[in-house]
This record gives sequence, C-alpha cells and structure tokens, in this order.
Amino acid sequence: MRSLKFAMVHEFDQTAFRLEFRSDPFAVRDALAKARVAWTGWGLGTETCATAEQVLAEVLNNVVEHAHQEDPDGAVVLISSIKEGGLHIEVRDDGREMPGARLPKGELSELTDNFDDLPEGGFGWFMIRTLTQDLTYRRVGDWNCLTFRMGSDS
Amino acid sequence: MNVESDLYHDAVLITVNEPRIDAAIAVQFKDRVRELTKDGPDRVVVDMSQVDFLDSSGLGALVATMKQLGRERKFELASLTPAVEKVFRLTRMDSVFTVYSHKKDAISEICDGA
Repeated sequence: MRSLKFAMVHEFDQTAFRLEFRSDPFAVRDALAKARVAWTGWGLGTETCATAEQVLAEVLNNVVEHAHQEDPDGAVVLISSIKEGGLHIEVRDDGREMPGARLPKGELSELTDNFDDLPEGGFGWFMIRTLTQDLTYRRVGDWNCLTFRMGSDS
Repeated sequence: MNVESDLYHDAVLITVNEPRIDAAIAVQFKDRVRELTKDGPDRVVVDMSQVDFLDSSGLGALVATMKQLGRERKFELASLTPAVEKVFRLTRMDSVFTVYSHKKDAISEICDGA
C-alpha cells in the first residue's frame, strides 16, 4: 500500500517540502524521485542532488529495515529545505528507537585478502557519515528524528 | 526484472536494464544473476551502463554474488556510471572488483554496435 502526500511549504524566504509516506522500498523510490525534482527546482546542481539522494536512500533504507523492521505500514516523514549552510534534510519515523539511542559509527570493514571475508554490508552508515555534516539523532516521544545537511563539500 | 544474459565463447555477459539496483530489488537481482550464471562459462561480466543508481543494498548484492560464484569463477563489471562509480570509490570496493570501461574491453568477441 503506497500513498504519498506531498506538500510544498513556502516559509518566509525559505523553500521547503514535506513528504509523508509508508515504510516500503518502492515508496522510498517515489520519495527520492520527488525529492530530486524539488531540489533541482531549487537550483541545486546534479552532483549535489545525486549525493543527497545517495545519503537519503541509505537513511530511508535503514528506517524501513531497522526502525520499522520491514513493516510496510510504518510512518516516514521527510522534510527538506535550503537554509544557511546548505541543503537540510530531516527524516522522522515512528518505528523502534535506535539501539543504544545512538547512531552507528559506520566504520568500513578492513579489506583483507580473504575472499570469503569480503564485506557485504556496513556501507550505508559509512556513506551517510562521510557525505553529511551535522548528523544528529534524537528520539522525541514515539518518533525517531534524524537531521543532517549536505555541505557544499559533499 | 529486466536483466538479460548473452553467452560468449569464454564469458557470459549479464546486461542490467534496470536503472537502479537498490533495496527494492537487491534480493531479486541477486537471485536472477545466480539463475543466469549457475551454468556456463567461469567468467561473468556485468554491463552496468543502464544503472544510474546503486545503494548499499545493491553493492552488497554485487559482493554477495561474487562470493557465491566462488574463487574459481570471475565476476567483473563494465561501464559504471558516475554515481555508481562514486559509491565503489567511497567504499573502497573499487579495489575488490575488476571494472572495465566498456563490455567490449571485457569480452573481445563484442564489436561496436553489437
């Protein structure tokens, strides 16, 4: 079940959008596509939009898989705006709290010569941490809230 | 899922006609490639020219596929688009895979226009 509510909100001299959708990977694809249209409309370049999409995909995949534990009916809210410091993104969900109430470190596994030990995961949080600035996690009531910005050097 | 295979003398070419290998399709992608490569030449080359987007699930699926094929077989990639190439570079997985600029560099039987 995929429903997407999309609202463009104009606040003062900011432009922002808010998307609400369900925690399923195809709804995530739709949300990413809508985000790119909005960011492009704000005049952000291809490289910035591609990097923001990359990070946001990883964040939303984590929400689907871990916060909502593959439940396709979980709520996800995406808010984005251009403010001082660049492109700001906020993702909220009403899923399970982050274990330890803390973000994963996102360190890459050591690459050894051992073929069988090649890592199949652990890339997502590494990319999120590497490509974002001011990454912050808060639990507010029943909601997880992750905020970050894409600096100009992403 | 739009993933095809073509058999050559010493390699099988897998063409991924999906624009994204992401969380939505990573598992099906892995299953499909496994199906297409369970028999056939030891060398597997994946044409990624249509893939504009790869997330960590997609990257994980590629690594898992390579591991599943085993040490005796080769799993190689061709035509990584810029966003996909960036993911490989960032995660250092570009040192793990053999990557060709184009499928014809990987498989000599392939001529321009084929």
